[in-house]
Amino acid sequence: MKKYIVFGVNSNIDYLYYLPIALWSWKRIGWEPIVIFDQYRGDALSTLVSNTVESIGIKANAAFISDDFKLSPYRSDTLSQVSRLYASALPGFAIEDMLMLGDVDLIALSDAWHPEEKDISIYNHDLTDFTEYPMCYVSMTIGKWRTVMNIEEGDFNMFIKRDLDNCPNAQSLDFYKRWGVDQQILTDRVSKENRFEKRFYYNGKRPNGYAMGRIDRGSWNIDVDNPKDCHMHRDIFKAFQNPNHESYDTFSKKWSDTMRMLEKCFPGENFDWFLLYTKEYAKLAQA
Amino acid sequence: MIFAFSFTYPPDEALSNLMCKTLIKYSVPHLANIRVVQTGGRQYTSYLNGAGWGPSMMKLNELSYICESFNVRADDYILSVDSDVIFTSSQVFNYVDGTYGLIGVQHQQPYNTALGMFGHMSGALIFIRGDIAHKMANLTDDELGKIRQEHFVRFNLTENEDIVLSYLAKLCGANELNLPNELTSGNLQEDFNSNQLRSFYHLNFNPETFLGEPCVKKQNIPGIFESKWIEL
Repeated sequence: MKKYIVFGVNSNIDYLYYLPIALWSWKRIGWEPIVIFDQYRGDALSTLVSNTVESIGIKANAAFISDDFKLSPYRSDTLSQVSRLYASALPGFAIEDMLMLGDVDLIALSDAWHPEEKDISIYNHDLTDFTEYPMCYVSMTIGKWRTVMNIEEGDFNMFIKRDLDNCPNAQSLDFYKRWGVDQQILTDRVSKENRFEKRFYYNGKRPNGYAMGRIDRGSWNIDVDNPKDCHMHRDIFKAFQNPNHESYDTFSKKWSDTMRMLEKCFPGENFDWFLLYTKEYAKLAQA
Repeated sequence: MIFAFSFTYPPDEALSNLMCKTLIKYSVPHLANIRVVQTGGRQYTSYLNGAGWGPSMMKLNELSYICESFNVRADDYILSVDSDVIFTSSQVFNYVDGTYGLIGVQHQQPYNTALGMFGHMSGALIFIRGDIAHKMANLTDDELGKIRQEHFVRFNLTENEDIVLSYLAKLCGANELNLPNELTSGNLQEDFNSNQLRSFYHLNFNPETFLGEPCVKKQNIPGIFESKWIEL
């Protein structure tokens, strides 16, 4: 059984940036990355990202959302987010392969995910106060994903359209309704599923509402016990952009926080590549 | 640290969520993690309410998996907890301090067993210390088969999961702690109204009304708390 983790990205430079470090972190604990792109532009920034991924020895499986969606009412962020739910329609999987949902700004700090083939694994349901199932890190086998999402191997774009057309929030002008569409579809599908057992994993949450075991940008502290993942700071590459920016000090602090976190969680690891990548990314993103 | 697990089924989902929510709230910082298996699909078709040797072995498998997967230390605890338990204070966790191998609410009419007179822990909540859990996890199928014949069949012991887990823990050398009455033996509604909550409650009853609202079955209790904006 192979283990895959799927990410969805578009040309949003704030998210695209995380891709190499996210892929590196999951690959080191045995998860093969799949990246679904919307609006892939093949420009200098995308090329830098893919070259960096290749240079650190990662061969990511890539898939692309169809250009046909350009004429659709759906926003690119919605498409890239929901696309993860349909990754099992991509060719080349064995039905017993495990597929987990990931987010590019959540990196793995330890080998804490061991979903079982027989179940649908749902992590941290308490973080939504037991309402929707959090996208990360729902996992199940390819066969189960296909059953739960009612899809088959083939053109995943068709299935995305089918479900978004039936989801009123997918076109909502209200950001909060639209932003959660992926989670709403997932929860609707999984909660109605009664053929497979569900297995819920909880690490608990801190009094401030943030996840135990997670280094989180909302409440940054790298001294958490048994860190499992990190919700990365935003804007860290901007520490290498305009020093006269009014938030430059904040960007620099976030970069410094990030490097201290990486050095603590991955002792002895050489992150020169990440520094070089970040500098180059900052330059290209500013151009 | 405490590694908790629970088996539930879809109609109890709201109860199970409430159990997890209150367990997380009151067991921090002792809690390592919780694993909840929602049965009723194709894998655990025979789990039902946990009665019988088969379901007991499913729980033992879960305990074994936790021992293997999470580096459970000798002084950690594995907690088997029912989905219809709610925690209302952290007091119960003060008793989980490494002194006892088997902790819970003990059956008050001990019965004759191969190990002498014994009373099992209520399945609502059973803490098993890490060293004991590892010994239980290491029992082979042959050994378990012999235990079933020589200890359960021969002494006519019921094979429910609460009895099997408790008995195997005892067999593996656990000394027992029967949790004090004042931690749990209250009436939730009365205690709630008098603001004198105990540490945990087993909602194994189906009240006609709960906190003044129509209830009928225990599965409606979480919704009543929610409708009244009550945070346990």
